[in-house]
Amino acid sequence: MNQFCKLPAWLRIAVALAFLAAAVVIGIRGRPSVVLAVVSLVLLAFGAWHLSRLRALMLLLILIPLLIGLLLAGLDWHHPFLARYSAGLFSVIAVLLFMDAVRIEEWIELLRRNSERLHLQDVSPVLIGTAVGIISLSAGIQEQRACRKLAGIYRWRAKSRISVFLDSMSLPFYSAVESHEFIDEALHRWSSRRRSQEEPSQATAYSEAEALSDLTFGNSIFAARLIDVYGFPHFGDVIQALSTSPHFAAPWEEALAGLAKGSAALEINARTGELTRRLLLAGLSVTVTEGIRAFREGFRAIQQEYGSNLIIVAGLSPGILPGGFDCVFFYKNAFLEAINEMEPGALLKRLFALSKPRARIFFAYPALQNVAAEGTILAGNIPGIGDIHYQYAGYERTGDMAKARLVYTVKREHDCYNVRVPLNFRAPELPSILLAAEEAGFSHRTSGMPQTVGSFLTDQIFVELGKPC
Amino acid sequence: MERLFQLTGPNGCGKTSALRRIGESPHLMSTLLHLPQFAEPPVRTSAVGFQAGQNVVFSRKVRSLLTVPLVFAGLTVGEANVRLESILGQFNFGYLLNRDYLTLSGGERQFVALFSCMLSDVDLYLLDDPVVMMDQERAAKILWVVKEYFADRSNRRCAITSVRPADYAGLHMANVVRLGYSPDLCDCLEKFDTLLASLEAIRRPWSEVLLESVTISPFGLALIREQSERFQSDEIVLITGANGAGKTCLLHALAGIERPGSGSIALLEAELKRQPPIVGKNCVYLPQQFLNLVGFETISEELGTTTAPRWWRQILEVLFDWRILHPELRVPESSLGERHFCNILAALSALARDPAVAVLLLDEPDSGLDELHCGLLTRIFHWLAKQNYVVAVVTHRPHLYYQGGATTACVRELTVADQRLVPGKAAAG
Repeated sequence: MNQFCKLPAWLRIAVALAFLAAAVVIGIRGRPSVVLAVVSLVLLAFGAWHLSRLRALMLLLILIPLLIGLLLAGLDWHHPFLARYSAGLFSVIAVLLFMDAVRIEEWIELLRRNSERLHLQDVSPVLIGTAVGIISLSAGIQEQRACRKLAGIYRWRAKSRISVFLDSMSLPFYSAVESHEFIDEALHRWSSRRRSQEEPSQATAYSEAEALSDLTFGNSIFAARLIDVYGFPHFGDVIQALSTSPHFAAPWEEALAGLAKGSAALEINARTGELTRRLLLAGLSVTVTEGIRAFREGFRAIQQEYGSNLIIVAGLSPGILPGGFDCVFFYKNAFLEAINEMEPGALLKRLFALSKPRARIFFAYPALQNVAAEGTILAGNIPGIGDIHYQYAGYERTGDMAKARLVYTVKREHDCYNVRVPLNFRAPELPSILLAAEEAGFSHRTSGMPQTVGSFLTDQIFVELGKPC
Repeated sequence: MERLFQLTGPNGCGKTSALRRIGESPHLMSTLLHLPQFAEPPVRTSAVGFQAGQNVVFSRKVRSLLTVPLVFAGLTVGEANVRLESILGQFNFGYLLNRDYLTLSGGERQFVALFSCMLSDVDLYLLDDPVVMMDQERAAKILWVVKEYFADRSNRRCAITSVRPADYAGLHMANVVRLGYSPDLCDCLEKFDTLLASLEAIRRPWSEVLLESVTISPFGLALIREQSERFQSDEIVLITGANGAGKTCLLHALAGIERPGSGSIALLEAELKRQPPIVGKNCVYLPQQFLNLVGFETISEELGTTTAPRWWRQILEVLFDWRILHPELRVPESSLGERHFCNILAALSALARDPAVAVLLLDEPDSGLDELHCGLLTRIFHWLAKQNYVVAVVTHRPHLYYQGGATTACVRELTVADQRLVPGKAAAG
């Protein structure tokens, strides 16, 4: 049964040592995995697959860094080191298992047997396998460590010594595992060779597409802010195109009509388009500023020149709101953006505190970006830009907070812009906003506002907040 | 060409993940990316050529690295070798076959990754930015290889990711998918210029690195022979040259990592004695891509934003505020480009924290970075040069460094060729 055991002891030792030496030499110079497979097959043929204390010891040796890490991390299972080290460790084991399928048997043995007398043949497979595995991984690890040393990386770290130590243990391991994409690719080619024998089903592909329509690319922790959408390709052009639409809702017209002639308007970030034009037509002096510093300078200049009757056209960050204004227009998305930078109650209290008596605040609800809680927000062709599709997928709501996967596509002939990002934003219901306004001291009036820009928007509610005398 | 597709976008937008997804399910991705031509006729097999190169678990020999995937794909070893010889011979890359992978330069590793993919006989080839680490000459050759390879294969399709679409203009790709988003380039750079102009000056004392009759011969191969040169503060020196010419070795010598075979290298600083450059002591060195310098804490914590010197904190805050970089990013899990950018920030953070550092040495900091990240970095380098740091950069794209924005320092090119340091053009700030 076990031919290997029948050999003289010195021969067994010689064979095992020869395997070990060959594995180490070829591991450094050649094809460790091939050697590993051959050695394992030979040993399997001799029936030399037994559980041993040493095998158990090897497993412990692999696990010891994890245990030390756990102690150093103050038994905090959520410490980044532990998660990554464990992931790295078990990925390495998985990779080694794949590379040497025979070793699976060894692991099974490890679980089943635990009281055999120690023989050299028990030790040799795991010793050789581990030696070769470590050598093959160490090439990548050595390179990583050398580079880190070259960069003098330990000298400047702002972190604690323990944290740096944990990094120095886990990073090379993690990187070595991470670079196994080559193996993934080999596996993929192997599986696609099998797959190619079958005709792919178009119907399956399309049902998959539906199921995965909320797929995001890139870094998943990179959840976008609402204001980030202005960085989307052509988004500014899209908003501009919608804003310069000839349709201008009646409630906004009425709000403009109520402005005193000769007032000064200060607009930040030039996103309002048509509203600015209407303000100019109404005989107001409009100053458009870019950035916080310019806004503050513009505000000071206007205050000196006009003294009163100051109208702010936002989008602006509520943090830079100046005092002494008569009116604020939160046009398009501006109010939603503002309450995403400052909680609605706090924003409304700030507006109340900084505004003059009888000041008025105007905004539309829901905002352009929040028209549809789920599904398509904008879709259609905009001349000069292309086919736009802007939607929320996988929309979830917890209290005032909304989570969505945002899918934004602009298609123009052979060019396609595709943004798929997670988006977290505050989107409170209108009653809670009005309640916060009341608590801040504002009175409020609402009126219906039908579609403003063709097929893109559903109905909105126009909201006017008034500060008492 | 109708059968070549380009996936482009800023760093961290998910180009490589999309490429992987395409490999896994081409039909699904053709729907999501609005590329019907991608899936028709049906894709049965695909192969990926990764930007980060190959893993050496199977072997360190280039020949074995290239044959293993073919064997996985169903060829015998003999057939794989024949295909290898014929295709690499056709494009004059046969000399790589017997090299040890770990001794290859970054550009040469990319060759191996590219050929590992293109040797396979599949329906769809997926190439992850195959020229990102190449000098211009080799990049042009690679594009020629790709063009030739697909010219007579009517049913083959190829998707290429790129961080700089202009690099692939020669392929005339008809279908372009732009993934992700980033802030407006001009707007951002303009604001960043304003920030740098407003930073409090930290003018260090004058310093220079002096090379006297230096010979650099790693592995017994003379790359630079008896050359003398000065690297002064208040200028950016761009070290250029072909792949394998010895640019990185020169940088190693400047950092004191590698001793020159003959001659001497010294750092001279005002009021200080002549001293050798020592990495981590008086100079900061950034190696090439493909490594993790930064740990698993968030990037904000790793760089110690709250305790950093004021000028560096201001720069970091702006990068975080404008979403150039997410402060919660855990770097080892991010994309290759983001990781590289964070590595550069780590090196700059080292420089900012240590007043003894006088020299900044960077090995291809622009490789794999998009236009915005590159623009921001070059502006920081110019600002540092103006503060009297000695700045030397190895690059294949010197033109990127001539735009310093509001604080432009002098830029000088130095080419490593034929064992000499050949002065190139110089531009005054």
